[in-house]
Amino acid sequence: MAMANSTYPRALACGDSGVSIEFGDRIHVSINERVLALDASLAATPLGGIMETVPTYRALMIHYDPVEVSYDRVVGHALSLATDQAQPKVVGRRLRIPVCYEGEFGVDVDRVCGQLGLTRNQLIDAHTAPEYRVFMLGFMPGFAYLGGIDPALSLPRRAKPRHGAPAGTISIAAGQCAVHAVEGPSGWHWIGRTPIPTYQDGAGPHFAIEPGDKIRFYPIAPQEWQEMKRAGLAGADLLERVC
Amino acid sequence: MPTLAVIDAGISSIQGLGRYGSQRYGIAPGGAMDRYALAESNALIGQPAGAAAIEVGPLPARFRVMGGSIRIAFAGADRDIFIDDRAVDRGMTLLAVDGELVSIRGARDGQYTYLSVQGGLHGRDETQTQPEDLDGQGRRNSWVFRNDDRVAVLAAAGGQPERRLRLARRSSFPIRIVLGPQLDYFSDEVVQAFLSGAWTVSHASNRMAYILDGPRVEFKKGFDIVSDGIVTGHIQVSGSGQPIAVLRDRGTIGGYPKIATIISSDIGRFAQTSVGRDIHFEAVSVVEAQVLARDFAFELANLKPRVESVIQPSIMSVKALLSNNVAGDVCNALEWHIA
Repeated sequence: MAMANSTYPRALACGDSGVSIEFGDRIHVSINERVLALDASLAATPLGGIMETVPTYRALMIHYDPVEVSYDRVVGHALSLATDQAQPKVVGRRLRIPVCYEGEFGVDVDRVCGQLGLTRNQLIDAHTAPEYRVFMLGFMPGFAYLGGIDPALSLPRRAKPRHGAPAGTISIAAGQCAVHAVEGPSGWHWIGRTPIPTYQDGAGPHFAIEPGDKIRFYPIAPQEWQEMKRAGLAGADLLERVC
Repeated sequence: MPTLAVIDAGISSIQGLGRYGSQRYGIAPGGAMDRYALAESNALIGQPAGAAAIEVGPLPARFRVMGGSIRIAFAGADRDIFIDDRAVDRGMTLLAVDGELVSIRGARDGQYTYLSVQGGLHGRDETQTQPEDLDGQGRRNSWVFRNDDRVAVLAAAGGQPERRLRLARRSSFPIRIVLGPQLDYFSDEVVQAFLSGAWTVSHASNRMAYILDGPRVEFKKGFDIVSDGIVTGHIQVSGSGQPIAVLRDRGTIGGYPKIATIISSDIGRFAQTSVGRDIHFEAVSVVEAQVLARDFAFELANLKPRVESVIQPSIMSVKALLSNNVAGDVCNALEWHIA
């Protein structure tokens, strides 16, 4: 049953095999840091019957097997970890991701520049300046939601989503930026594309980006994109980790 | 090794219990829409309750047996099934031989049918033993069939009687839910109306979600929440006030308020609701839902002891008998009658 208390963290039952541990109702770094801290704590102090956890902007979803463990035990365990002041902070890695904003790689660049009143270079400068934070992955496999975009690049979502945003698409909308891992529909504005495969299909799924990572983009020319794409297909690790 | 060739895929795929562990990256577990029916067809064929089977959705589908005889069983939606021109009983194992066509017609009542093969499904060829992991289309947790796909399967074991199981009948009692998690977005009157209303499954429903037609569900305070996690069975209410119950191929996160969550033991029963058929919901507590979940697990575990051997061979063509005689070192057609 949903509990009506307004203090965070709080537990909201999601049927008999899920519970959402909420830390707030906003998109904010400090709230997301607490979500990721609980995620890490649960991984370090596992409770039998918990199948997996899914960090989102402001809440951690815990999926568990009700045959193995009760709701009360899951909630008790999670809330005691969540309120532990000694919880470690998840630092995340610093990654540099190349993006080509030109031609077919940034199909919406001209329209976005028109709407925002920016030149192409101003858009690229504004988009590559900040360090973004990966708040969560989801919607589609490996789709990364990034916060920290320059407010000058704020645009609403498109009225109608389009099909076929290619894997690697870098899109913006609603004060957010996204890295697309697989081809799929999107209602956001497609301003560039990275040649880095952020989701790979091997013996098991492999994702290059994790919640909590910090990302900087840097511009590349179409020819570099093609070269890096080829190198990536040949197995090269193109993701730059900044210390 | 025999294969099952996909002649007409309809909406069919290989499904088991799904694969957990990648939801944090945006990949839902997938898995059989109706775990009870999956367990029934697996119990018949002598496999673990959650073993991967072929799930056939409401549309017709056809498969051809190639390269040997296989033993199969069906459970799930009420529909006509033929092996060449022999009508098949759901709830009974049977032999299908090289070249025969397994023809599964459109569902009359229910939506999903499970086809289990003795010895299990073995991927695109015999080197691949975990077919659930082999999609390679971004949705890694199931193999969605396309025409001309082929699945490697094991040849039927010889000298075995066919087996029978009284399949569960679909009951019409309410689908149990736990209210919330975003109950505070709805007034008490709206929640009462949701619980007392009659809902029907809309045509625009699939393995991802069933859209429910009925009265409009009004919000108390807007419908935009900051996206949070999703579980199978969540009933989201869209901006237009329409409930959407998300199922096995759901997203992992969503931004609509969830008024309620279908409990795990009732997901399969809900998923088998035909388009246009009435549904009612009944609220239970988390504790009650967990008792029901344990009862459900107990029922699944007790399907196998309920399976009976059949003295007469099930439905078998002369061709099937001959083929078994030809494989004389494996079994003898007479044994089928006296086993």
